[in-house]
Amino acid sequence: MPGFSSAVMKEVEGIFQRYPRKEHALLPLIHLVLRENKGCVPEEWDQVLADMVGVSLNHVRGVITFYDMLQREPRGKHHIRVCTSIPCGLCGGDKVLERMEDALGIHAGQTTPDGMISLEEVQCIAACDKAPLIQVDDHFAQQVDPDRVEEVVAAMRRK
Amino acid sequence: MLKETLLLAKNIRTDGYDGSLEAYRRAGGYTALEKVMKSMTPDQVIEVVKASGLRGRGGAGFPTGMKWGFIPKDRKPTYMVCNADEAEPGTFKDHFLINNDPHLFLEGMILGSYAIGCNHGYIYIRGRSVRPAQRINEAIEYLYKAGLLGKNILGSGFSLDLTVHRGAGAYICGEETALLESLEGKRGQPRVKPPFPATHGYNACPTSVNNVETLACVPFIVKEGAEAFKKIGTPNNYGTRLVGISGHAAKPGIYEVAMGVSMKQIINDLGGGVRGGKKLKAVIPGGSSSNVLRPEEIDIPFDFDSVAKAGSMLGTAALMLFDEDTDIVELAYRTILFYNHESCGQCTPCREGTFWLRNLVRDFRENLGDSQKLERIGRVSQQMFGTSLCALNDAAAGPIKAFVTKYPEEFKKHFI
Amino acid sequence: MPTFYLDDKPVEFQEGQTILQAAMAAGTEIPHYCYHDALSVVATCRQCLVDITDLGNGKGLPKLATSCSTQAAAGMKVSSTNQKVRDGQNIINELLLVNHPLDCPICDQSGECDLQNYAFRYGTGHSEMAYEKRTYGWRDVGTFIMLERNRCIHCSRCERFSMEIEGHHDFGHFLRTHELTFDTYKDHQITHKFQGNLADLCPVGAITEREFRFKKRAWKLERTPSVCPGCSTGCNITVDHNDGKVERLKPRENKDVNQWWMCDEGRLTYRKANDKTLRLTEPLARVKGALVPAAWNALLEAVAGKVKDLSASGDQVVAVADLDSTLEELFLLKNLLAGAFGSGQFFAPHAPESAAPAGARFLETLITPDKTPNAQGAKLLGFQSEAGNKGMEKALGKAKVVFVLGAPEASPALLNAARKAELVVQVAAYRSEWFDMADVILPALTWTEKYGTWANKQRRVQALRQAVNGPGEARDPLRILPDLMRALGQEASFAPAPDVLDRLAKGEKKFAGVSWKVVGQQGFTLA
Ligand SMILES: Cc1cc2nc3c(=O)[nH]c(=O)nc-3n(C[C@H](O)[C@H](O)[C@H](O)COP(=O)(O)O)c2cc1C
Ligand code: SF4
Ligand code: SF4
Ligand code: SF4
Ligand code: FES
Ligand code: FES
Repeated sequence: MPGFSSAVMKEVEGIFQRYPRKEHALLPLIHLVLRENKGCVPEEWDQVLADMVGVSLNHVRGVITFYDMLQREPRGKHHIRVCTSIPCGLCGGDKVLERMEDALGIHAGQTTPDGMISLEEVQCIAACDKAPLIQVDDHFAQQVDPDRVEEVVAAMRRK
Repeated sequence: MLKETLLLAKNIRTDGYDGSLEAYRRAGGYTALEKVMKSMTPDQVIEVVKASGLRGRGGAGFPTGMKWGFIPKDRKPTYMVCNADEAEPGTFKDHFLINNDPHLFLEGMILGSYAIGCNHGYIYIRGRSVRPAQRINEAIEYLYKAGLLGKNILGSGFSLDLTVHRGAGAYICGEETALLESLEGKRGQPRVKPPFPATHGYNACPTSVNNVETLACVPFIVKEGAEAFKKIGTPNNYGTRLVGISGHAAKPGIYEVAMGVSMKQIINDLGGGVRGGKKLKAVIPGGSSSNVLRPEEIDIPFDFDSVAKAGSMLGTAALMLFDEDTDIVELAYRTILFYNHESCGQCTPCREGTFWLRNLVRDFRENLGDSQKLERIGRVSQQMFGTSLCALNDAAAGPIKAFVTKYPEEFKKHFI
Repeated sequence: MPTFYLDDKPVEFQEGQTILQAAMAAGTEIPHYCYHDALSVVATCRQCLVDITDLGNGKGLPKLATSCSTQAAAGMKVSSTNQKVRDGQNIINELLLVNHPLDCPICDQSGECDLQNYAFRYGTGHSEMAYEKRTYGWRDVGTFIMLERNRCIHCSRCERFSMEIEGHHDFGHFLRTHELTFDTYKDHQITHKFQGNLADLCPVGAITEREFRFKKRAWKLERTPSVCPGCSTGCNITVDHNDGKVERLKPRENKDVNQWWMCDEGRLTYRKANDKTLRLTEPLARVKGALVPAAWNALLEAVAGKVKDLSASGDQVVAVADLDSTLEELFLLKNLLAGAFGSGQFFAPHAPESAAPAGARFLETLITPDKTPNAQGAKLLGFQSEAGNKGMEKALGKAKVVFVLGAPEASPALLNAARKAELVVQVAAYRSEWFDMADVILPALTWTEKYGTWANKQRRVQALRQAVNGPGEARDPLRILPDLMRALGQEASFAPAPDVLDRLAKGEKKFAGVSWKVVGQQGFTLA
């Protein structure tokens, strides 16, 4: 079974201190799993998390399948999010996504075969004045011109 | 020419302001806290907020002072939870504050915590906002160091800890009871009410959930008094709103206006009208949950009551403009796609209704519409309205109904 | 009691009761799926919508409210039938059908499906949804149950049962929006002893009992209230039967005994009654070591003749009874022994009781180690059991005549002791280890075929009722025992169980106050 390193376990103890009940710390702990596991929560972690916070296995699975950021498969080294919500979707976000899929040769929700880049279609990420918006790792790229998507991807590939 | 009224964005509009604790204090920050710690009882804080008429900026517009007043005085612990989920499409005002002036709402949150006797507060922020969460955490770290958080704040005997809790991708967690479930390590499914959070909130304790922008108003009210706040805005709609303009606006962004100014002026004077000199086709005034308005309906005061009277909702004051080239069917599709994706799924009408409407609207998008389907969209969205456990269902059904009612010609273009 | 108005009629309610609870108590049906008396309120199916036109303060609610989650209040005015409510009920029903396969013709639930019933009564009966529906498949979620997720209406009763009542949280729910799924963890198979209750709770045919799969159309079943014979709890049940055959057992609500539940083993107890290879169907007499068929009357006379020849009396006559015998049968047997022989040697062997562990969930307290339904009854009637096998062995050792009622549990030593008797007469429904030594076998009805009462572990007297007829020549022991008595020269005639119970109540102090009427369908606890 997987587990946290002793350094991370210290963080876990700190997190438990901040909540009246251990089970409330499930999401923060899942975020640690994401950080330590290429942005995903592998299924083997379900039991570990359940034991750590003292809930049932179904509770953990219920939670992980509820939140759409929580994926079972590892992400690429870089993660691109394309917003296709309103307003982004109506300001060219849908085209940005299409071009992005073409440029990367994958669909949203997939990772390039070399494990470099994963692509996600997201709902509004609260920066709508910059529509159409994409997020590359933790950085925003605003008013993305669909015609320049290929350049962005090429630049990322070079990195 | 309409000008901004700067109450919350005053610091942010100041050149060189970086939102650090130092900068915030230099601009007069945390003097409200000092005043309260020295000379005000919790009840007095509640009273001044009540007197100011402040209404929640999270969407529903519930009076904040009244909400705090509902917290029982004889039950401990109590909790203050700041709603920083901000996931309503078109809405980015709370992130504007978090990113540029985090101490403003944090000061409001400390004041609110004091008012309701809370010693541990939580800030619930959406999972994908990694940087904004970091920003708040840094600000909190400085506050601990400065003795403005932690034990015995400013020697007052009042202690408070704040914890940032990150969501993980679910719009419904902005709904306050779903938020509390999520904060408790569960799926974000709204609770049956009653009981209300004021008596059974976080960990079954009395809890007040407040929006970022709401809390950001509190330092001003405490410092300058209720009357100063009431000088801004219109009766029952006091203060300012951070209006997020987006879509096909020439100058998208956040603008702070006194409530009750003309919506048309906000759009034209501040938002610069429609970009590229195009004509306006549609306006969504308060985030994706509010009903669309046609261009001829937008000459109204921008406040809770007037927008409601016009058949829509001030909501999150997220003004989205759509130009003449916009396909309303596409707009409706993006809307229903969102709500279908975000429905927690527990209630029948929302789970099945958003799925069905999504399928129906998609047919139009693929030019497979017909008059029967158009009628059906209207009927289903009408009948499912008001039958669910939380407001998400209505936030989906209402706007869809409005699209087909106000723009039937747009749907007809997509008949088979 | 305070009053509110439901569809203009005054309805009394208790403080804290919801509109739905008060309405049901008053006999008004409000359709509902997610609400269940045993479970927490989630108010998510939205089928129970009502229109509150006046909260009791002159103000109504603009939107429909769920009656399962709204408390009744004095002076409140509620409509459960106006147009607004009908529209609400219709759309909920229609939306539930959006993703429902409507495979009623092959669904085991058909005929007792809430969705089907409500669609008929409260829906428009059709769905205009013309898109591809969700499709899953059958899942082997438990050793006793199956799950067909296509039929699930997401009421969450299964999950609430497994969290709140059973305790293991075997059922969970995953994903969200229209993909929401109730299921077990991946390929986890439920193995606990109470799975059938999940099938009972599921308002549609999503969770069904394997035992009942494709067996019978539910609407053909007749239901007879009875009591489970599986252990000393005596869960209240219905015996569901058709064409003279028992098809299944279902729990029947009794707040003081089993609440809404029963165990899976209990559900299968009917199998034995249906098992032809086990049933005794004709009177048998041992001739030259082998049992051969005989006629009832001739056999009874032969028994009387043999008894006379042996001139057995007092301690030379011993009775051993099975603990699934009814109170009435035991009473008659005791009378037979005392009246015809002056014997007080009646036994009912019984495994000692052990208490449920402290802090056990209610459900866990249901199944008791005592697998007999009437041990308390036998004890109260003075049948010796706790004395242990030693006393019984000794008594049997001295016996010339032994009457065996049913197939009492017996050790080899006991059986050997009984074997030495000159005459062993058995009145029984099933073959057992006694078969090899009985000289006379009188075939009897079993619990689904007769009337009578049992006293459970709480000394609660509960009634069995005849659901089907017995096989072949099997007779009711309430008839066999008087017939035997008459043959032995006593005055006796057949009386139905209620009459025997009346006599028992008069004759046995510990049963004072009991009668068929007070026992009713919910039982009567002895003082
Ligand atoms: C579906 C849904 C989503 C919501 N999302 C948010 C949100 O992101 N942020 C927020 O402050 N309030 C949101 N709300 C409103 C909250 O439930 C709650 O009313 C608000 O946080 C109260 O704060 P306020 O009184 O300061 O406005 C949402 C409500 C619903 C029904
Ligand atoms: S209305 Fe939708 S989001 Fe709200 S509780 Fe019901 S299913 Fe969940
Ligand atoms: S399987 Fe049955 S009990 Fe469980 S949620 Fe579905 S319909 Fe309800
Ligand atoms: S608990 Fe006992 S009485 Fe109840 S169903 Fe099971 S075996 Fe029968
Ligand atoms: S719609 Fe794209 S960030 Fe809001
Ligand atoms: S029974 Fe009331 S909502 Fe389901």
